[in-house]
Amino acid sequence: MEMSQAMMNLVKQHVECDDQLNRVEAALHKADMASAGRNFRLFDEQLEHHFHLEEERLFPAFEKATGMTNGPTMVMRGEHAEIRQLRDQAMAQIDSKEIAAALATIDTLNVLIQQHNVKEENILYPMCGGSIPNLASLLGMGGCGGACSCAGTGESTNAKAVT
Amino acid sequence: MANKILSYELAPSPATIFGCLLPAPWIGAVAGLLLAFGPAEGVPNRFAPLLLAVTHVLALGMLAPIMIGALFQLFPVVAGQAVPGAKKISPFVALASFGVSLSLTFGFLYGNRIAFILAMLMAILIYGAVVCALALAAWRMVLPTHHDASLLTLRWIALPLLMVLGLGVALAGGFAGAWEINLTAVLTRHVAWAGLGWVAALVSGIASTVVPMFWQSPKPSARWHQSVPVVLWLLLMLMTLFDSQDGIPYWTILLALVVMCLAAFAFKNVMKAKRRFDPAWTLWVACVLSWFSSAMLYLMLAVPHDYLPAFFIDASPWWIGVLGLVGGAVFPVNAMLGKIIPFLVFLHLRRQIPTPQRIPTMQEVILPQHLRLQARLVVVAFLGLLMVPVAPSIILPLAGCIFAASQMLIGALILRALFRYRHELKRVIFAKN
Repeated sequence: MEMSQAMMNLVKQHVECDDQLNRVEAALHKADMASAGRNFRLFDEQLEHHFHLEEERLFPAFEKATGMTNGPTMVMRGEHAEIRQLRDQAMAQIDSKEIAAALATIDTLNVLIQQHNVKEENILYPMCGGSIPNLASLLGMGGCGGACSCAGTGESTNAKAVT
Repeated sequence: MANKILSYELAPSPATIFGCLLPAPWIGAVAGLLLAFGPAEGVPNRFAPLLLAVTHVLALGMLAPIMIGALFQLFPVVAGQAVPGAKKISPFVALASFGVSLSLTFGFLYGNRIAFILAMLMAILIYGAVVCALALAAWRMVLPTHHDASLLTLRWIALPLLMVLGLGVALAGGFAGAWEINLTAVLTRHVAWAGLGWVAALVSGIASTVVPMFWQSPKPSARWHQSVPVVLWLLLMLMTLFDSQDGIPYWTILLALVVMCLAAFAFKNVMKAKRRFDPAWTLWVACVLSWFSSAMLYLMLAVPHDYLPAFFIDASPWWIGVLGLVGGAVFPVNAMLGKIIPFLVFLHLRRQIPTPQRIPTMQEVILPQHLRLQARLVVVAFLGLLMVPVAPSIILPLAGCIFAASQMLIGALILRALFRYRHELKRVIFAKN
């Protein structure tokens, strides 16, 4: 079975978050705190949009389809909490203009996100693809239902995806 | 089992991984010192006893425990499958690997037959156990339907290790006089399986995941994921079966061409990495260039080469060895240690300390400026080693010492990371009490 369009869109959202976090790092390296703060807030929006999509649509559907409520989705929710905690730490450091500390936190945040993404892309998404019928429409991605990454990453997109 | 899929619970304990990784750089330092102060007769000829000894100290004493430790960690994290018996095997991996390399050193330097027999027996015991454990984990892991180079590497990595072990045992037995073998044929295959089947396959397969992850290079293409590292193993198998020692080694030549192509693709991706500011990124650039250069040098020697100067022909085997072993293996291993160790410390602290409490970031565990210094040292040592054929008696001790210093530094940084881990745990335990 090939990776479905819905799963590819989820992977694309991972890449978009990575790119956005990279812009934050680039701004921090130039000590451009205004750009770092602005880009970090965009990263935060993209990240939350993606997490909400998973936590409110994908994971419940997987748990319903497989009956595994204490399985991989629980682990992934736990990792989301850890990522959010580091994100908040980085946000606070950017706001207080601690460049070196923010870069160190983002370095770890990046690795934490990457290893999380590897697990999702190699294990969880294929499991979801095999067990959840109509995955694309469930995620609002059938014919670009507003939640896919091509629809942009602004607040309006998030609102569509979450509600 | 189901509720543990993707869980930290599957990841081996810090002791399991640190037990494999901690001593390894210090053995690398021993290899450097041996190179600097060992009996240098015949150097830089690839069959000089000192070079045979140093190669095995580096490949077995240093690289093998790190690579085996990394596999014990990667199986659960990347493939969701723990390696059975990893906890029982890991305490012996570094010790036995050092034992095997030490025995081989005695064997090569003093022509000691018993040392070869001892090395053979220890290698069968420890690497036999590792092969069985990795094969069992590979058998149990579930491959997703899309191709992934890292997962394919994990699936089949027991095979090249078995080939290296089998051919190595055949050679050791031959040196000990236990049986007669076609030395050149077995040696060629042993070197090919060790260098390409084990080291290059593992580095390329695992790097397909970890380089995009840690350095944010573009993810390799679907074609890369379909072909790496299986194409290397297929060609090695064909080379093992069909290449003769007398005629032109067609399969080996094809293998070298494939290595050059893979290195060229890898170079393109590594150069596009977004985190080029990371201290270890340079090591990856040097690594892929080393693989490309060593394969190209091999090709130049494999076809008629009368046009080449005699010095170049004489020095090429040394250069191929340095490029493959230091550039192609030590560089990526050093680069990964600098990332994986702080991440493991972070990961295990996070597992044991509740989320609201702050834990040190990776850059607080190992400082980036220390990693940058280490990367510079090992690159200088590498350049020095490449220049050895120009003036062996002067450059070899110098390059050996710098190499030893670079490995001592990464060893000290890993120790510091471990102390930081213990310190943070103690802080939390005492805070609770």
